[in-house]
Order: sequence, then C-alpha cells, then structure tokens
Amino acid sequence: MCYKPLLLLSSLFASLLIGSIAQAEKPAKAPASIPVKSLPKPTPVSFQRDVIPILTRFGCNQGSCHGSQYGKGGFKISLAGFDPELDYDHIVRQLRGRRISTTDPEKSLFLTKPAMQVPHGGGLRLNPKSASYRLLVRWIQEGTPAPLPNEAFVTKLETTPPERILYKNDPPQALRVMATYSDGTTRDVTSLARMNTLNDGVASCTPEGIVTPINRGQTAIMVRFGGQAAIATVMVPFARLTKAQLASPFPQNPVDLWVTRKQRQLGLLASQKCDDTTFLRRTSFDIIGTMPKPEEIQAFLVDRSPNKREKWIDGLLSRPEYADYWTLKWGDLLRSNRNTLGVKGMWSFTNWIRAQLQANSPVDQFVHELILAQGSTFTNGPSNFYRVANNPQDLAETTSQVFLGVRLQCARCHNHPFEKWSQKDYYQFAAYFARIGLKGSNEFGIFGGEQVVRVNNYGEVHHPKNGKRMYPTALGAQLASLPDDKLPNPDAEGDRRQKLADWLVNKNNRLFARNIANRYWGYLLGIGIANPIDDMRTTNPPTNPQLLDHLADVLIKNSFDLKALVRTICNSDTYQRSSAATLENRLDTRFFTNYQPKRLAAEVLLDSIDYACGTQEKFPSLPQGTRAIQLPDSLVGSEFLDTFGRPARLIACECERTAEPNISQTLRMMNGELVNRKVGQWDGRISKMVQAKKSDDAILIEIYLTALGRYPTTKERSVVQGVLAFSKDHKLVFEDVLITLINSKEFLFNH
Amino acid sequence: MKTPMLWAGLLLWSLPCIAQQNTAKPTLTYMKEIKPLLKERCVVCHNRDSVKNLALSGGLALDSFVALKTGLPNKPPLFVPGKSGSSELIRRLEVSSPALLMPKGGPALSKQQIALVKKWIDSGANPGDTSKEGDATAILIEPFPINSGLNDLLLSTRIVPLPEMRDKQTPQNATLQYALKVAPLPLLTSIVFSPDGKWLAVGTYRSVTIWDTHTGQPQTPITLLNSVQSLAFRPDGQVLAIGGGAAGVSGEVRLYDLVAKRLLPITFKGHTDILYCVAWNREGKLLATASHDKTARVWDATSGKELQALKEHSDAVTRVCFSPDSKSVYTASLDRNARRFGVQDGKVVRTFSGHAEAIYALALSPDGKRLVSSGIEPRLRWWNPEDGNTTNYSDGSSGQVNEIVFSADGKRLASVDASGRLRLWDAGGGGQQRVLEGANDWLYTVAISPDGKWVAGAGSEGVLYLWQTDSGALRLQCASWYPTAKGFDWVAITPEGYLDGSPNWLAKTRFRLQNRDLAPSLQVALRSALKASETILKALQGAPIEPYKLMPVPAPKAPLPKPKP
Repeated sequence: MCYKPLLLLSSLFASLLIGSIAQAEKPAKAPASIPVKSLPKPTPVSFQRDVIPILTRFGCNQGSCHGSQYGKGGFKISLAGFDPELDYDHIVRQLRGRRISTTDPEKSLFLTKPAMQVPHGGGLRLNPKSASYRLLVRWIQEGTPAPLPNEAFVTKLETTPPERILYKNDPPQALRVMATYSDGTTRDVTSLARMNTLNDGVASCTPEGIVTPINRGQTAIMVRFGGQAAIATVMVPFARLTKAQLASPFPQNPVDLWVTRKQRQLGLLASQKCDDTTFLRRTSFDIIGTMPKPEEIQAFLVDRSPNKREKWIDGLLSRPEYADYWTLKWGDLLRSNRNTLGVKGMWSFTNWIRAQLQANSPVDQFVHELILAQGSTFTNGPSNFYRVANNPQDLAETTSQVFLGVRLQCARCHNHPFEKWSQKDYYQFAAYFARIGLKGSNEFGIFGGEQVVRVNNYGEVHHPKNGKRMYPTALGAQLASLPDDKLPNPDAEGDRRQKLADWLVNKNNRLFARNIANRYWGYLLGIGIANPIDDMRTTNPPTNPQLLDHLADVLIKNSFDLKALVRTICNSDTYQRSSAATLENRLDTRFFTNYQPKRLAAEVLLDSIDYACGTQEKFPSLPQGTRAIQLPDSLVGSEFLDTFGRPARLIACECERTAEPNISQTLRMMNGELVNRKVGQWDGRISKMVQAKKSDDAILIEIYLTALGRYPTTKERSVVQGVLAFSKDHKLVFEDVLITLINSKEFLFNH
Repeated sequence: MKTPMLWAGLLLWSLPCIAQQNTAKPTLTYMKEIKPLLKERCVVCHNRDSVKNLALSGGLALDSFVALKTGLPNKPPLFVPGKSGSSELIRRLEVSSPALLMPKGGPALSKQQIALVKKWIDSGANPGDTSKEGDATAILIEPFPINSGLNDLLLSTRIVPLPEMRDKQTPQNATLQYALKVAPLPLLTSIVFSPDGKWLAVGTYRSVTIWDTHTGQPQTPITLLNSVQSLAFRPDGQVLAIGGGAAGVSGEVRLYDLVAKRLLPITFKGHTDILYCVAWNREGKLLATASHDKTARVWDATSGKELQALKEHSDAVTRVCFSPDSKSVYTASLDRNARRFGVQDGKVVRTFSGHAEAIYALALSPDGKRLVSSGIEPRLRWWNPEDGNTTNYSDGSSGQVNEIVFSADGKRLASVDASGRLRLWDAGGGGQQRVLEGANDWLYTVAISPDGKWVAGAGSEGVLYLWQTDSGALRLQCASWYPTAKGFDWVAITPEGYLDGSPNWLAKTRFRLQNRDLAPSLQVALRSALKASETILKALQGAPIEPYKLMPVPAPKAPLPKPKP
C-alpha cells in the first residue's frame, strides 16, 4: 500500500502549505497552530489486493511451504494465492479460528508464527516492525474482511527499466514494478512483487529488486505479482567493443541485422561464414536429413556463381527427401504412433502429414484442417489428432503446446506459477473440445479398431473448483464483461472448434506465428530464440524478441509457407556462420555468433552410416530401401534408433527426442554389431571399390566425401598412405579408416 | 521481538507473581543477565519441548542452565568458562555464513548483547542461583482487548418498515435491522447447557459467558488468559470444565466451580498446543482432552494427574468423548480417522477409517450404541462402535460440519456447518428433519437443552442463536463483550424486534433499513418502545410473540423526507 502513506504525506504537506500561507497573511503570532482536517480515511484492507500479495511476497504460499499440496505443519493455502476463498477459510475460519484473534490481533497465530514469537519451521518471515506486518494487523482489526467477488485484479505488470545493459563492475540497478488493475488504477508493487533472476550466473536480484551484474551474458529478471508475470532484461556485455567495431555498418538482411544488433549490445563479434563443404553438409542435413552426394559436392565446389548457395538451398527444398525428413519432425510433434492409433490409423495420419509437406501446404491451412478434423481415423488422416489426445484437457494442452508453444499443464490444477494463465483460462480453452466424441465403427470388422471422430450436441467443460460451465475462450482473450448467462451460445453456428481454428491460425495471433518461427529456428540453428523451443512463456523470454518477431512476419507475409521460412533462415549469414568460435565469442552459446554443432538425429545418423558404408538397413515389415527418416513411427523396431534418442511419441514435448550422450551410444558406435557389419559388408562401399580396383586415393576420397562431405586433408591423406604402405590388406585399412571417421565428432555432429 | 506471550503460554493461567527487583551485583550470572537474553532471542526454538523437532531446534535446548551447559550430545560444549574465544556459542552468534548464524533467519544479536555473553563466559560463566529455575518466571497478564467497534454487528428483525422509510431501491420484503458498532466480536467456539438446563455457557477468546436461560440475562463472564475452545459441565452441574490454550504454545484445562464462583486450583499439565475438546465421564471423576498437539489425554479430574496420553493419531485431535461405562474414549482427528481407546491401558481398541477428509465432529449416542462423525466431507457417517463398521450415512449438509450433538434422550441429532445452518436429524433413521436458519456465517458449535426443547448454535459472527426445536423458530440472538471496569456489555434481541441489554450497548443500537440508518428522532423512540425484558422472558418460555408494528410517529422537529412519487 505504498501509495497510501504517500497520499497521507502529500495531503499533510498540502495542509502545511495552506497553514503557512494563512500564517503569512495573519499578523505574526506564536505558536501557530495548523489545523489538519479531513485526512483521507485509510482504505479498508482488502484480502486479495493486500493480504495475499504479502503471503506471496514472503514465500508463505510457495510450493515448498504452505502452498504445497498438503500444506506444511497443518496449514495449507493455495499456491501463490490463486484461490482466495480457500485461503480465507484456512486462515480465518478453519479450526475454530485458531489462527486469528480479531479482538487481540497481534496474538493471532497468523502473525506470531511468521514473526517467530512462537516456534515456526519457516523461521522469521515477517518483521513486526515492517509495513507488511502492520497491514496484516490492520486487516485483523478490521474484522478480517473476506475476499470480494468484484475485487479489481491485476491485468498488467511493467518493469522499469524493461531492459538494461550493465557492465561487469557497474553499480547495481534497482527495478521498479508497476501493476495495472482491471479498474484502470495503477500501483507501485515493487515491495510486494516476487523477483527472481532466471540466470544467477549473469546477474543476481535481491527480493527488493536490486540487480547486480555478475558475469557475461543476458538474463531476465522474472517479476510476478497478482497472477501476472513480466520480465526485465539484463545484459552484461562480454566485452567493450571498439568504436571502429561499433561503427561498421549493419548487415542488410533483416535476420542478420537483428542478430548483429543484439551481439553488439552484448559486445560480441560473429565468426566467419563456413566453407562450402560445411555449408553443403549442414544444409543437406537440416533441410532433407540426407548427406550430399560426392558428385554434388564436386559440382558445387567448381561452381563460380555468386548465388550458388541460394540455388543450392532452393534445390534442397524441392527434393523428395524434404517431405520424408519433415514428416518425421511433424510426426514427432503430432505423436503419430501405432500404439494409440492402431497400425491403420498411424499410416493414415503419417501419410496425411507427408502429403501436406509434399504439397507444401501453408502451415495455417495444415493446422486449420487438423483442428476441424472429423470422421474415420482410418480413412481421414487428420482425425487421428483427436485420438492421440482424446479428452478436452489433453486436447487443450496438446493444442496449446504444439501450435502456440504455451505449456498449459500447470493450470490444470492451479494457476500457472510463472505465467498469467489461470485455471479459468485453461478450462475455457478446453471447452472448445467439450463436444468431441469418439465412436467405434465396424467398417473394418468388429476388431478392426476403427474410430470415428464426431461433434456431439452435448458435452461441457466445468471449472473443477466452482463447478461453473466454462465458455470456450481463446487464450489471452478478454471476454466482454457480460454475465455468464448473457454470453452468446457457443454452439449456435455448429462446431465450436471452428472459432478456435480460425483464431489459432489468424495472422493477428502472434503466438502461432512466433511459435512456428521459433521452432524452425531452433531446428535449424540448434537452439531456439526462446529455449526450450516449445515453452514460449513470458518468463522464458526470447533472447532476441525483434528477431523472433521478424521471422513471424516472414511466415505471415509468405502466407505461412514453411519452405519460405526455411529459405529465409538458411540464406542468412547467421545460419551460415562457422562453428569454429573465435577467442571473443567462444563463451557465447545463445546469441548465434557461431554455429552450435548439433548431434545428428537418430534416424539421420543411421542413414548416414548406411550411406557412408554403401549399405541399406532393412526394417521389419517395410520394403527394402526404406530409409530411417522414412519410418512412419517409432515402433518400427531398431535398437540403434532407440539408443540414439528416437522419441516414443508419447508426450507433446520437443524434449522427448534427446541428443543426450550415453555410454551405450559410444559402445554401439565403436564395437557395435551394426556398425561393424555395415563397414565390412560384402556388397558395401569399400568392398565394391576394392573389387573394382579403384586407386587407393580415389577410395580414400570417396570415403571422406560420403562420410564427412569433404575431401581428406593433405595430412589425413599422408597418414593413411603411410599405413597403406605397410599393409597387405588395403580393404582392412579402409575399413579402419571408415570406422574411425564414423566415430569422429565431425561425423556425429552437424557442424 | 516480544516474548511475554510465549511465557504467558507456557505457564498458562497460573497466578501472576511479581518479578523481584534486580539488585546490582558485581559479577555477571546466568540467571540475571544471560537467561533473559536467551529467552528473548533463542528459547523460542531451543526449548525442552521442541528438542525432538530437529528442524526447529537442532536438538538443542537453551531454556535452563543445565541445558546450556550440556549442549549437544557428542559435540564440544557450547562454552568453555573463561574462554569466550573458543566457545561455539559465541561463534554461532558472530559467524558470517547465514546458514550458521543464530538466531536463524532473524537479525543477529547486537554487539552489546554478544559482548555481554562474552564477558559472562570470560568471567567464569557463573550460573547464579539456579535452584528456582523453571518456575520463577513472572507472567504478564495482558489487559483485555477494548472493544474496537470498527464495524457494525447486524441482527435481523421481522419489523416491517413504514412506507415512508422506503426508497426506490428498497426491496419489497426488506425488514428493519439492528446495528451496533461493536464488531468484530470474538468468535464463539463452544456452547453447552448445564444438566438442569438453567445455564447456557458460551466460550470465546479469553472468556466464558454464562447466560441464565430463565431470565435471558448473562452473568458476569469468567475471564481467562487465553482462548477458550471447549466447555463441559460435570454431570452434577457443579463444575464447568474449560478447555483451551494458546495456539502453537500450550493447552490446558481449568475447572470453574459454579457454586463458589471461582476457578479451582487444579492444573492439567502436558498438552503443548491448544485443546479443541474436553469431556467428562459419566461419574464426573475423569476428564478427557483432545489437542492440536496430536494427542488426547485422560486425567484424574480431582488431582489433575495424567492417566493416559493417547498418541496414536498423526494429526490434531479434534473431538473426544467417553463411552457410558467410562471404559473407552472415542477420538476424532484431522488424520481422517476416529479411534476408540481403552481407558485402562491406553491401547487402540478400534480404528474407524473411511473418511476421505479431516474429521471435525464426533458424537456418541447416550446409550453408547451409535457413533456419528463428519467433517470436511459434509456427509454424516454412522458407525457401530463395537465392530467399527459404517452403518448409515446422512446426506444434506452443505459445507464442512463442525460439531454434532445428540439430544439427552438420544432421539435427535443436531449439527452445524460452514454454511451457517443448524440441522436437526432423526437419530433413528438418520434422516434430516429440519434446517434452522438465521446465522450468516460459519457455525462452530451446537447444543441441545436437556429437555430437548431448545437448540443453540454459535460461530464466527460472535452471536449466539437460540431456536425452538419443535417449531424451528429462531427465538433469540445474543451477543456480549468482555467485562471492563465500567461493567459488562451484552444484548439479546428477539426476531420480533424486542431487545434487552446493558445500558451502554442499548444506547449504541441503531435501526437500519437496507444499509441506511433511520432518522435520529425515530431511533430514540423505537429504542424505548422496544426495550422489553419481559418479552425476552416470554421468548424463553416459548410463548408466541407478535412482531412489533411500527406506528407512524409524528416527528416534531425533523419531519421525514417525503418519498418522491
């Protein structure tokens, strides 16, 4: 209640002023009496506006204390105060008023505990001399007024400054937090907001909002108050750039422009562009999940045209493998798998996804069709979306996470602790899916397992706490302040999902475009602008918001053409940076000064081994020649793929596909049956070349081109030649060379 | 930080004694200089009651010289006489690491205070006269709270307003209300009728008011040091047991002799947190108590000796009662179980499990053959006390049930819940008979008069409601305040609009219609017209009373504003 003392003070000053003027007019008389009249009465203490923020500020209702599921020490309140009615009952009413003594406020257990006048497991939380303590005393004196149904709530938080560059030894910066309420009032809540730094290696933040730079990098200070969250960005530059460095012109390409701007704020300089062979291998893996062929490499190297990289990218985008590779990605995201869909359903879903990518359907249409899907899961691919997740809650979570990058899961049980999403937002969003039903069908026999997705004329979603029927509402949309019974019938125009689909892919819904843009940037650059790439909450801010906005604009301007987005990113200098870090940017992993190597995805890795060895893995019940990136789901048996982190497609999280190293991977690569068999296979690449009596040098070059996408260096050549000179069985030597290359980081990583 | 409250709690309700004046002595002693310091800053956590709570005390007690000298087992002593530099006690007061610094989480001791401890250790750590340690602490009796009178206490009547009192917003069915600027009142936690039905005792924060049900007037309240949570008349009606305590600090029972009108000098020591329930056995020899400290205890009521401590519950014990043969006690707990213990051996005879939420209410029928429990789950659950099986359910309560009582004849059951409703149930079939309305907030406690004709309920409003059981009619609403030097304030109001009370509060009553006070001239006239102690008597005899009818009063000085057409 910071404004109140201020108000009091200012009116005091005003009266003093009036008093002194009056005094000047009168003949001098001592002592002058200054009547202070009608000081404004203090506003009554409000439970939601004043009491709960104190509980939140001092950590009483955090998850590790009384906000945990079972409370602490027999006292339970809601996490971060999301349920004022429940909190009120537990503080005031429960256990015959054990915690409150209205006639003797300071004897209330509610105060004696946090003030440590009786033993308190949580220690001293509230100083009896503090303003917060006094305010709680006043609340009890006033008879513990209960939560008001129409109390104004916080609609917006703002931090001042929103963004700040602090050099390593600069003095600390104090943050100020202003809250805007639904009744239009604003209030300085710096003393009540919870403030934490997201990366205390970069800058620290005290509970009072004093930010001190620690070490180079960028972090955000997460500010939470009244169910809203905001951030303040703090940059601690890596170095001070010289005037000449700062004066050099910004690049023309908007992607590079925004990236460079951020790098300069942080005192970073980017690495050189990568060489042609690295470029070819990188783009081929990233766009079509396939190694470039030796002849393609040779042709590219001799090409002298200035726009050969552009042409190459366009070439890749029109290759058939594009659909294979991106079907794999989208199949992961949409969780096409035979365990939940049945074999027929899985094929129908995967084939539909592939068809969309093959035709390069704009992603808005793609998603629109998916959301509105109905009918047989066997004959209409997209309807399988409603079988993967088949109840309103799961559908709401999947839809928001996959298409909007919003992880709503927390709000299923309580208001999101780091986001503005409330439980009400969650169930209002879920209400879009309230009328979707699955019905069994005998079209393919009694045991055929076909399901039909249909829109029922019944079904509602209710709020789990108050049982109210939820009106289907888009995330972040402010419903007109109509009473519940005055809202228009959501089913008046038939399928209520129509409104959802229209809103979801609308150009004005920045969440959608930003989410797709961030995901694709993350796929191509190895790290998202917001990272993890599917957690786009306010408190996980993008490192470069302007860049993200630009990419979202690119997507929208190109009518949601995904190939255009890939083209834009891949043609930027930022994407084409060398992965070799310079002395100045070696500490950077988040600002794209150098390309961050990424381990090949399991399927791509297996295909690459096959390609380098000139062999072909046979997958059960799939025709010979099917590549790993063409597999329809993760249930095509392959220990190798599972070891290297192929996702089971059970959860809608990018984290399910993992590039985490483990010992089993190393053993499989070095001594594994699969690699050994393929390297020396009788009809493999080496056997064939040796049988064809190719020269040692030609064999070596082909091995290098097919395995690493480049020519061997002079040194590498001379080492191999040295070994060959002493060896009788050259085939064995080449096999050793190949297995060595396959086990090299250069092979395992897209760099 | 303040400590009187803790010490007041530890020696709850014992007589105050005056601390002796300090006479200056040349040497520092533990008793004179160090103990008060430790008491102020350390003993809140480091005391003998909390040594087992390692999270709180780390196993260390500092509330006596012996404890301070002993320190922690298998650890170096806390202090070495003569060597403050190598004393752990000093180190922990000065260390820079916040994880090690004591007091934990609180501001460090001042430099002067640390210097004092150092000086004491260096001068040989003289204990002083520790022979009286443990009972030499003076307690401070805090003054009674003065009536804050910030808010209006509102009590409804059925008086129909005159047409000229209304305005456009006034609803058709609006009636007059009484308003008294005396709220917030302390909430009422326990009500109980005396066995002869003459007295109705009402417990609240630091006092018990005993209303005379024959006259409708209260006696001067019994005042106590801390919260009162539970009352029980000894079956002979001579003694009232008062259970309560200080939340988080202590729980105790006091016995009040109604004949001699004084508290008996028997103490029942052992509970470490507030008591929620106290109960007599049929002979009036034994007392049982239920406490937030997770235990129930059985006591010899004449000596105050603890006979059994029943520690099987894993959360606060909310209710306790004796079986008619005094061989068992039944308990209910927030741990979702009710239990039956043998009084002789203190062993669990039966566990009644089935509740999915905490139990707040428990009652045993007078014949001991039916047990009823309820709580956060509002349904009443009936048990067979012998085999522990659930025999019946009674649905209908809305909101947490806080107390259940059987009528003396065992035919009826009354319950109160968080919706502010008192419900009467058929104790035979378990069906709901009647819902008694009138209260506006949580009801915590309920009592049925011994003749079964009256039922009383009270709760967080601080108002006592009295209904007639058979008709279900609300007959009286009563409220009172702590006694002061000037006297004792109370008011009793019938729904028909008649009232009686202390002069001070009668003068404070205002008449309101829809958040608007009536004209001042009307207030005086109405007040004198409606003060009628004989009508209160009539109400208590169960006689019908006509609602007061307003007559258009010719107002001499301030004419009423005419309502606009």
